[in-house]
Amino acid sequence: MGQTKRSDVLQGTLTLLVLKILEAEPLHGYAITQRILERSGEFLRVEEGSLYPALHRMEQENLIKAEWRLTATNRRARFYSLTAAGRKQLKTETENWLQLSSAVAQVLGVA
Amino acid sequence: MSWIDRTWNALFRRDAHADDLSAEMQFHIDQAIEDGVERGLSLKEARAQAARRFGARTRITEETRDASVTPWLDRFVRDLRFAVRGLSKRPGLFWTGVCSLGLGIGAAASVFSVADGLLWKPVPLPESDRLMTIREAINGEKHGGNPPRLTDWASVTAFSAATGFYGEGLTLLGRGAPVRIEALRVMGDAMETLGVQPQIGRSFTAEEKRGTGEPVVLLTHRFWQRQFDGDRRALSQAINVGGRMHSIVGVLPEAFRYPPDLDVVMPAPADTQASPRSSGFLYVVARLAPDATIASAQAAIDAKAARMTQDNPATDKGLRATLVPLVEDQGDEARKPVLAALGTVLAMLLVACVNIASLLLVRAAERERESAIRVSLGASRGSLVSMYAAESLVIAISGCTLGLLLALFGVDALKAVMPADLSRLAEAQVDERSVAFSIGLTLVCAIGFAIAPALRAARTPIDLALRSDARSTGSAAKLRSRTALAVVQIALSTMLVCCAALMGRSLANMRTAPLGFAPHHLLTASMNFPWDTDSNRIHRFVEDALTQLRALPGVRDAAVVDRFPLGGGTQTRPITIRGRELSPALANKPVGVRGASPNYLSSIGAPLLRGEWLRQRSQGDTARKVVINRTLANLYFAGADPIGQSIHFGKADGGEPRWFEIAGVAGDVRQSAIQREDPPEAWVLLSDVYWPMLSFTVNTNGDPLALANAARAALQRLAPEQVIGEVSVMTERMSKSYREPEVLAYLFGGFALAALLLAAIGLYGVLASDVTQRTREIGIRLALGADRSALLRRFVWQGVRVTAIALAIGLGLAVAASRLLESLLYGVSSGDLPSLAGSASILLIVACAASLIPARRAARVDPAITLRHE
Repeated sequence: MGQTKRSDVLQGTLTLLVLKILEAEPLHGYAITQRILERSGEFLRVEEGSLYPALHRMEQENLIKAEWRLTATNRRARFYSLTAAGRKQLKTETENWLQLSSAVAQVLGVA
Repeated sequence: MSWIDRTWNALFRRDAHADDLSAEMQFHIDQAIEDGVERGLSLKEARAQAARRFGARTRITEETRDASVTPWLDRFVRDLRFAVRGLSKRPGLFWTGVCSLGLGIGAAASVFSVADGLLWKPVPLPESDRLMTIREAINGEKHGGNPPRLTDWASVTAFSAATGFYGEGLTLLGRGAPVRIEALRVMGDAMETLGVQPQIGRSFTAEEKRGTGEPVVLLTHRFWQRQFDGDRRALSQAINVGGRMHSIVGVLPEAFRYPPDLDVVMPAPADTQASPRSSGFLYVVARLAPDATIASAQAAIDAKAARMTQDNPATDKGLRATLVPLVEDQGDEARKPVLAALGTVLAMLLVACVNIASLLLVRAAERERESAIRVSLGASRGSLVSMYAAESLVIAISGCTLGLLLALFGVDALKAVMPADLSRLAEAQVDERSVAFSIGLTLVCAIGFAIAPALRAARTPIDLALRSDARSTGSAAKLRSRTALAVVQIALSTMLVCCAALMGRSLANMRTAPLGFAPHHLLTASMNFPWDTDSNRIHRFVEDALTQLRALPGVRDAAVVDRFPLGGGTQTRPITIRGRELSPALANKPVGVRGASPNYLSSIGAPLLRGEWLRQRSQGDTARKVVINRTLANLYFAGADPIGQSIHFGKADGGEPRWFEIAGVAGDVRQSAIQREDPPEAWVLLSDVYWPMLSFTVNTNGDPLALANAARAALQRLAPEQVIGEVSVMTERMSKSYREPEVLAYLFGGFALAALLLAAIGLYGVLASDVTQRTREIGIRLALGADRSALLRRFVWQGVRVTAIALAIGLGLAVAASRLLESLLYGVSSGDLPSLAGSASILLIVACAASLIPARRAARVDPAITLRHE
């Protein structure tokens, strides 16, 4: 159950993480989970069950767009990349997150 | 993915989308396995880990799909499928709905197509919204344009070009048998104004425009195709039009179809272009300059008109010119009747929609328990509304399709019965505009008839599902809303029936109004010489023709006139009376100037009231005589004896008067079907006026039609180079002049009848379902000894009460609607009591009949069976 809890925490910030990861380059779903895992020092493991619905919802909201491309190993994969709206969203969400985390840190007295 | 792509995918690419998702998931799992192997796991272990990590694949797939397809749309597609299935189990409901809507939409689309063609569709000319007609009026009386004023208007800088034209029927010779063709005679900058360049060849030169060059002609595309098979060599040829050779200088583009039945365009002859300021025969059209607006151009012609009045007081005093967009001007005469028909058909459509709403309410009642179960199982109210909306939409789409199919025939039927001389009727067709109109209208209707059931569905009480008693608490409320709908239907039908009754009475009055002549045993034949035909030629022809016609066996007399009675149209002039000062109103009043052979009036049976008929003048006799009609005598000579007085056709200050001595007073002859009062008219000898379009009447002893061929042959022999027009019996010719009011009356009648039927069905439906719902109650009442006939009366009375309320509303609507129809009515006023009372009785009778059937069923209920059934 601990795992579920962790992914719940992740849910709210998953959009932000995906946007950030995709800012650098277009990636497919698997690569996104790997990248988040790496960058978080193996701490954040994104659930597939959360990732794909989130990706498709973000596509729906026009934050990212998807297309089928070939990977380095010559396999067809669905690559996601940021749209202009996604870039804007990333900026505002990053700001929100920083505000939120510094506020939380203040409350906890660790800042 | 754009919105459209998504919608498209959700609707039609559901499987493809599922494949995409599955492929994406597979790729993910494959990658995870590969990674595992790279990390040193065995293939089996890696697979197991990946599968564990990924979890329930179908769940993820589904959640992902829910996130990506537009969910409401997905649901609605499901609802639509469900609705189709549900309706296919209720064919009665489905087809009643589709047919009512289909007929309504079909009728509305047909009338709209005709209305659009006549009134609103832009004329097929470039930037046609910049084309304006200049309507001239002198002291408020409409006046045709003339060449000097055209020149004045053309000099107004708010116009980039101006032209004047008139139509002329001419004979084409030398290409087989003589053919009558329609020519547009133009002066001024016709092609520049209309914005048309010949497709091949050239336009008119400046000299040709003035009518002074060599005779030239431009062919319309349709004439070129028909006469020359589209051969470019036509350009080097000449054709004999109206007895003169004209060089073909160009062919107009196919898109130039205005007026639609045109064959050739020719400059007006020089002498016509030299007509004086007092004449009035031109239709003047101008194109607004690029920087001008209607308002600025109107101001400019107002100023110009003021200067013209100063410069030419004799002819232009009281001149007022109004700019009217060409499209609007073209539709002017048809506007009122067409709009009236459109209003009627929309009212009928409304009645049909109310019927469908009522049906759907019944359907909602049937499904109430189903809805309640859905709600109690967790369906949202929104999903219920969507479910009901889907059924309405299925009916709407099917009805609209049926309607458009019907409209294809409807438009042709309307065009066939409508008077062919409506200038733009030929353009009426079911096109993208009428399709858009129908779809829009259907949507409005669908929303209208879906609202009531959907709202009810949204309020479904949940407890209903749990109760075993099938009768819902809402049934009384439902019956109330259906009763309200029936009231609306009956009220609207009352209005339509009243309007139809008024139109019917008006038509009857028109048909029975005194003619002033005896139309029986009269054969008619018409023949048009071209406008510039030498007058001696015409008069010689007339004399010979009359002699020959009289010589035919079975002929008592033959006469000639400028226009047949009831045919409409007339040449008018104000008149002056020698030695008398007329009031300004009379001095400006237009008087019909009619030319005829001396025996014409007596031969058609018009009465001579005073004095004597005209006589054929012998050689050298210069005393011109005139016979005036009763209206003219009463208006201008009230009390005094007109015989022996002299009148001049024209104003007192309009130059040297040409006096005609009044020989007699004749009865009024009806000149147009729709005229409300007889116009003042003066009859002179045809040889005293120039009029090349001849109308012959032949009095016969027996059947006039038997002589038709002989008469035609006699005329053709005398003028082999001319086309003899229609040869027909006078009564038949007259019936054509009643065509327009007849069509209108039948349209009104048809729509009213349809509405009445729908309303009767609506009322019947309400009462019938009331009886069904109360069968048990009725059974108990009967078992307790209720009187069957009292029960019958009770249910009929229920129907009559509903009808009475609706009648009160409907009659109010009818009075209001008939005000709008007033100008179309003949000899009957709006709010005419007999029409209203008659319509109300018809409604009552129909309502009684509709109530009687369910009431009888109620009275026949067998208490034993009903009570045992429970």
